[in-house]
Amino acid sequence: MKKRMCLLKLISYLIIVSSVIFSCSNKANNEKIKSDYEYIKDYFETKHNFDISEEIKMVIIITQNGCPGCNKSFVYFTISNLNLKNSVILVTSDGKGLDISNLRNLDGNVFFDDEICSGDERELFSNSSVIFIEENAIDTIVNIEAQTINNQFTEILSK
Amino acid sequence: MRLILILLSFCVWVSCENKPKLSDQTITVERNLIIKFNPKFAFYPNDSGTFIESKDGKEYFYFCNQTTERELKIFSASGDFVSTVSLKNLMRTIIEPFTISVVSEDTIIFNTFYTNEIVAINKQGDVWFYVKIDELLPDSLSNKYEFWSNAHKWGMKSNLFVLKSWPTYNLIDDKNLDYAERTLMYYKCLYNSPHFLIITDLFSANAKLRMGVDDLYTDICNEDCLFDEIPCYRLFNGILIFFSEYSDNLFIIDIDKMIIDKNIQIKSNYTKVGNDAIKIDKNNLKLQMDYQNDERIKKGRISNLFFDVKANKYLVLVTHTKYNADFLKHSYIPKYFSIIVLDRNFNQLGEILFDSNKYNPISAIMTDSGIAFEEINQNNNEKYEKTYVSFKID
Repeated sequence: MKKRMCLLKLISYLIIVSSVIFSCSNKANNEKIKSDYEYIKDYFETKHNFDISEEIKMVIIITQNGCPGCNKSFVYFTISNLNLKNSVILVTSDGKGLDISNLRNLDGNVFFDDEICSGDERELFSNSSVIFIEENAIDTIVNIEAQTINNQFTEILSK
Repeated sequence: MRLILILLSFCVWVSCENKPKLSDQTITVERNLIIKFNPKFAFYPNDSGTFIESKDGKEYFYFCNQTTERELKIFSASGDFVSTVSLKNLMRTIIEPFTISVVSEDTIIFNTFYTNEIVAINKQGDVWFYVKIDELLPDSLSNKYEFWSNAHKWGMKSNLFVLKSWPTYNLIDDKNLDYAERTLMYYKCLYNSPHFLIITDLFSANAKLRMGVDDLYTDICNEDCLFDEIPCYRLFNGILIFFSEYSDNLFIIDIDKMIIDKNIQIKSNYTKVGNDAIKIDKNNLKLQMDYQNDERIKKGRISNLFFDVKANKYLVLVTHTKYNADFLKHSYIPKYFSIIVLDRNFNQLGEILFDSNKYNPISAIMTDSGIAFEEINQNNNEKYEKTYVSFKID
């Protein structure tokens, strides 16, 4: 009888302890979860002291990852066709895999960070893309991909 | 209790067995020099190397940024900056250079892919040699192949230029085939094509060109496999050596007969070497290609080959299958890599294990003071400063 009581006590204790642990870890996770928009906003504030205000409608990510020709075309497309007034450009290329000389001389909100890859946990900055922002949230992300690059340029222009 | 003790002893024994050993008994390795360079730009490992300048017999290092800075910088063997070669004139001649081979400060050779051009510039950056390979080839071979050189030293001393060749995709002219069928047909065509172009006396008016080694992949895989890869060959002392990520062999090629003379199997104590090429499944080709792109570079394979002139030994760099979890996300750096040492007759002498947390196997340069690796976690003062550590192997 005494043994059974002991066992019951132990089981109850384990249940209570594990419930407390699980509830704590869930709470901690909930607190940690940020939206992708907040993640981007925090990144620009922390790293570049730049505020993604309501005026900013496009975050343009230029990388040297993936198809080299596509990234090259995307730089040309960005400089020649996009209205950069309400945009911010993040260049993650270090200049060896993509010619970034024209981006260095570009007026506007252009930032360079070739060390971002190791810290980009969500991989939001790992591919060349345009992130459209609407009402403090991400509206659409258009990734630049080799097989459908012209469609992506059309889609970006139509936004 | 006794059982637990036996199990514990077994675990300790197993862990000791797996502990990397630093050197084999038949060879010795010694950390030799630490050299720092600051080219003040980013560069790919393939755009760096050494050359011996014939004018003074000294060794120099070069680092090149072709894309943004368009400069090649030369340093002394002690890391002092010597000169900058501008690539601006070169860029007016060709659309995009690809691989670099520095023979001397006045013979800096660039090779383009797709457009099959070879260009040489001098230290002032002036183009003094330009040729379109297709114009030198007979009509039967012209405009049917693409040529890609190795980024490492060409066989200038033996007056040989070696390029890897691929048939152009346009050779598959049956428009009724779908993508998977065309791909399968292309691989069959590639399998049975000449794999090398050898040019003798390139800079003279009487350059001689030969294509051959059609059976390069016969011992590696079947013709219906995905086996394409970047050029993996080196030319040392007039001997052409090919290696493949799909094989554990070095293939010694007889340049005169344009055939494989012999195979040398490479064995590692730590990793499987070489991976089987996947047989093409026409219904799942895209998935197979994605899988191959993602997975193949994570597997154990021969990834570089050097010849240490002072030690008179071949050094085969083998990357291992085990990977650092920290690196997995954005780059594929193995946990360990080995240098397998062969004598001049290709007898395997031993294996030296390196830790990829300390040395970068992708950034390796053969120097006069031994094989040098870029140090990881360097305490450099400036952003683009690089520290290399050389190892003397005897």
